[in-house]
Amino acid sequence: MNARRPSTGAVVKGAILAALLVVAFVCPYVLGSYYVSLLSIALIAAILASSINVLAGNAGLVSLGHAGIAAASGYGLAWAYRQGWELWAQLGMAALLTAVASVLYGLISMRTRGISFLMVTLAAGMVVYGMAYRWSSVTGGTNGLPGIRRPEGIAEYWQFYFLVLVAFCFVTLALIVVGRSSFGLTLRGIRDSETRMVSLGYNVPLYKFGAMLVSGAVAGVAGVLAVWHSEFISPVVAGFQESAISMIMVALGGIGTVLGPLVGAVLVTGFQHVLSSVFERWSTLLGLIFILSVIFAPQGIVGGVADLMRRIRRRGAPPRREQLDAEFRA
Amino acid sequence: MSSVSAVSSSPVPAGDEETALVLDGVTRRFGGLMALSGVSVVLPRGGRLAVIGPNGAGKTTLFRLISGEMRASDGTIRLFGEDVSRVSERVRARRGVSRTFQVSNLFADLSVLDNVRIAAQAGTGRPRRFWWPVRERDDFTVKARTMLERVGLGRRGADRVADLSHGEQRQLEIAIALVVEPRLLLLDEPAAGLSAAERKVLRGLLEELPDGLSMLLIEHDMSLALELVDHVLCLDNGVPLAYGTPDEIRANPAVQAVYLGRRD
Ligand SMILES: Nc1ncnc2c1ncn2[C@@H]1O[C@H](COP(=O)(O)OP(=O)(O)O)[C@@H](O)[C@H]1O
Ligand SMILES: [Mg+2]
Repeated sequence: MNARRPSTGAVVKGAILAALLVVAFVCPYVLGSYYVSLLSIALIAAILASSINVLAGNAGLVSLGHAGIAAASGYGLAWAYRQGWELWAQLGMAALLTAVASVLYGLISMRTRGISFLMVTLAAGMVVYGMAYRWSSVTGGTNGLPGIRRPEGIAEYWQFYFLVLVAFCFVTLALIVVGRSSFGLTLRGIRDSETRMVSLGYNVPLYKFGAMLVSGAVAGVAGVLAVWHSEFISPVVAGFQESAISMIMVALGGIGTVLGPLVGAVLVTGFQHVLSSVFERWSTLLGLIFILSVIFAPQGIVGGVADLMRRIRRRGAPPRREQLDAEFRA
Repeated sequence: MSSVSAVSSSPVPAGDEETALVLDGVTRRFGGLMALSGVSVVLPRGGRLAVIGPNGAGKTTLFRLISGEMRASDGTIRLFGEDVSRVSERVRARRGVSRTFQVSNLFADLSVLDNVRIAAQAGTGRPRRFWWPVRERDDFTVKARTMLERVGLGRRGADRVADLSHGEQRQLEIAIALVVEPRLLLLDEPAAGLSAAERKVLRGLLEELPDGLSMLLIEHDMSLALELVDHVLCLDNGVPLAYGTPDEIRANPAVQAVYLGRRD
């Protein structure tokens, strides 16, 4: 609470983040290209998971259709690339389609909550999937759009890895700012009591719409990076399974936590690549693990660990309401 | 205050800026059930009106109609001279209506301070610079802290709502409603479940409300309610049974029979 004297929790968190960053930076120098690519995939998945987390963690809105927004962005980039457009125009097209998709997602979901929000986003994802599949003159249908080369400077696997790492850090920082802003507080108010927020004069649908735009922008970043990674896009990336796995990553890692999406994405991606070679029904196993985690660690891994640390610290030094209060006033 | 009228057959005046609230023949049906029928009241600016009546009389329904949470089946509602019968709850809040809930309606996973802070930033209109971090020294926080002190929760800011006692949650409920600096305050059984000591704090708080603030108070504790208001409306089964000053209501045999008498 006091700018000059950060709490132990903040110090521990900062140390963990710094250590992670060092490890992430060193990885390409010690790991082979296969594992570095795998890390890129995990980080891109973590960005998409973060876009879901900003809605789920703050506003309490669980989306099952965010892969659709990422796919819209990816198709925008891929289509523009194949038209022979410049890089900035490709990115502009990706941004435009991201904005269009986010606005549409936002408009149809801004008056819903809970299960109905989940159903509406799921349906929106299906629509994007259907369009990618059917509108083959533009999207290439089932064959997709192949041969999307990465621009110079990020063509090498390790160069691309660093781009993804920077993007992930930037997105994470931006979402921390959103979470701490008065906008973030407003979203958490909506999560806890929509009726009270309306009674206080808040325009609840407008805030939900705004949250969807923020979230959609992040999903759009993941969409572009995903196309650059695989140099290819097909309807699969818009599918229900992509959205659902992203949501599972968030829940597994810890809804509403800063590092949850990363932890969930690394675990699930690692799992997918290790097990899918030896075990065909890996997705069944993933489902089982997810169910177990919901039962035994409902706040997710990061949430559970944070809770544990808090409890250990409390035992060492009994709190401190007065102290907390004094800090507020200082 | 002589302009106050209710349960009368004379036409209800439309009111102006100086009239906080005008209800004209307000009626609400739930299917076949008449929850409220033909309620007419004029509340001048700064007026304090208690709404009493047995359970199920329609008191909370009346609040929900005034706040705009639901629409009246019939009749008109005016706030500060403006017909708001078709105006949304959100816009009525912006016009200065603030209410507490009979069953506490708090932000369960936010800190006590954030519960009030979120209300404080609503009360100033659109939260400016909404992407700025919530800080310890900004206007909203200072306002929220002052309000917490006033309701006796000054030391509980960092706590979670779940850690508050029932009485403290009721105080927080009032803090949220008051920090928006309303023009019309609707209090739905604020003293229910409070200890004698907590009631005293509540009474002190309500006695200190600014003069220009208009208030409707639903309260079963007669000794508390009748001391805080200048007029009383008694409902029974959705029908206005009596209207008058606290003394008149105490002396009213119909009220005694239907309401006061039952308590003994
Ligand atoms: N949403 C609703 N649907 C159906 N009936 C309702 C609803 N709200 C209230 N009622 C009925 O309207 C009557 C008045 O309720 P209420 O205004 O809550 O009474 P009070 O606050 O005076 O105890 C009761 O009979 C109640 O059952
Ligand atoms: Mg009631």
